[in-house]
Amino acid sequence: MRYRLSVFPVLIFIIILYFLYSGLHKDPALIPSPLIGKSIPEFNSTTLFDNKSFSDKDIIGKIFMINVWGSWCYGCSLEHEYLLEIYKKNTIDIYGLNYKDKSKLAINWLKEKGNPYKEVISDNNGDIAIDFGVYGAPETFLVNQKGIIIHKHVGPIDHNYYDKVILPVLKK
Amino acid sequence: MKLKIICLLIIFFSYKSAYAENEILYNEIIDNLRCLVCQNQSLAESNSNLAKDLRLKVKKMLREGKSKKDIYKFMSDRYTDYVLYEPPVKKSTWFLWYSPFLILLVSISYLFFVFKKKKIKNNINLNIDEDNKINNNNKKINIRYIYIFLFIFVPIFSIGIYSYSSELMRYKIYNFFESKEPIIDITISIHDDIISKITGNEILFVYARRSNGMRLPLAINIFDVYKAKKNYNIKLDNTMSMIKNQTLSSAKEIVVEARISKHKKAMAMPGDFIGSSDPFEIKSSNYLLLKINSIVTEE
Repeated sequence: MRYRLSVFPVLIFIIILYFLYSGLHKDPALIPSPLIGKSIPEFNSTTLFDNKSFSDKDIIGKIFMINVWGSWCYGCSLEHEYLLEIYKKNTIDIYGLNYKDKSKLAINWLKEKGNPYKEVISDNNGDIAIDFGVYGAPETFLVNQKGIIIHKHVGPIDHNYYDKVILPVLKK
Repeated sequence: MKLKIICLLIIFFSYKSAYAENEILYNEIIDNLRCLVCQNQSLAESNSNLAKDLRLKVKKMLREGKSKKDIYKFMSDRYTDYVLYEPPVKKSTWFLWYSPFLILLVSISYLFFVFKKKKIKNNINLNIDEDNKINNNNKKINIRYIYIFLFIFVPIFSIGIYSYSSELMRYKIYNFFESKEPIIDITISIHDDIISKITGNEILFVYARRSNGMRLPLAINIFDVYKAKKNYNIKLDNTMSMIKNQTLSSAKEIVVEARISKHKKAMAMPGDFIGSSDPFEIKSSNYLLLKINSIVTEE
């Protein structure tokens, strides 16, 4: 009886070990978005270049990407070339959400590096970004024809993003 | 010791009753929300831009009259339950919430099981021989029960008590063991015209707050007022705060105010007598002379 009982601590230890081990492979900085599968939040803002009013209803209809960026953000400058690459393929519209930025700086930044965006929406005080659940620019959302968010990427995108995320959606 | 506990209780209840309710709710909320950029900090602690924005958002929502629940829901709708330091009770968190009770149940039934078995064994032993060995055996068993008690029950109960006590009580317990410095020694003198109006039914609030206009007291204490008594010697120290991190040591420049309240209310009412110090830089020990010489006319 005693020997049989002594199995329990070992068993418990193994179970704890399993959980600890599986925890090693998780990235604690990655937070799953609760917005996936839901429609994009409503917003009402202006465009960066010509100050027109712009709302969520103006973009729904086609599959598109929303890229949250700012001229202050280092990660955004890293992913910029890949955004331009996607832009050149001319298969999907990219909308930019200019997050907590000054319009002047943002315009200069785009003039210097090239503009991959169909339209840039101003979000100078970060209110729209909060509704999108943004916690670290750059973030990229993929939205389908009905305006439902189907994918979210936190951090700079790379060349894999188009092949692995966008293409399968476009093919459907 | 006793006095201290009573003081703490008074502070606790005065906190609950009236003091700047919105500000306290605000502080409680931002303390319970996680900053998503610096994930080991709360919104209250973090200096990141997102935390600043979210703090503003919380403030705005409170001003609009939204409840704590609404705000938590707003946040978890956007950032998942991960932003909440206290996970909500739902299917996937049942184990988290109820496993302590399960462990308690299992350990109790285990104890029960062991006790019963030993009893039977002892009875049999008694019948066979009446040696001293049985006594020895019994002693060993007793020590084991003490161990079981120490290692299973004490942690579970202490964790339970700790987690079910209120946030504020936790701070108070924590503060109890914290260092008291900085200490402010205050001598309050009441103007002669005011002394004549005092009946002895009033309460004296003494509190320190930041000189930048924030209303939240960093330290507060409450005293009885006696008829015809001109001078009061009072101390404020680091443990007399109402909210974690909002202590005297967290401020650089403070203002001390003393108010005699007729209505025994924490909010300033017309007819209260008040005196406040000039802003001063806080050191580990401070001496201050404070004159109560004016009357509150407006709310």
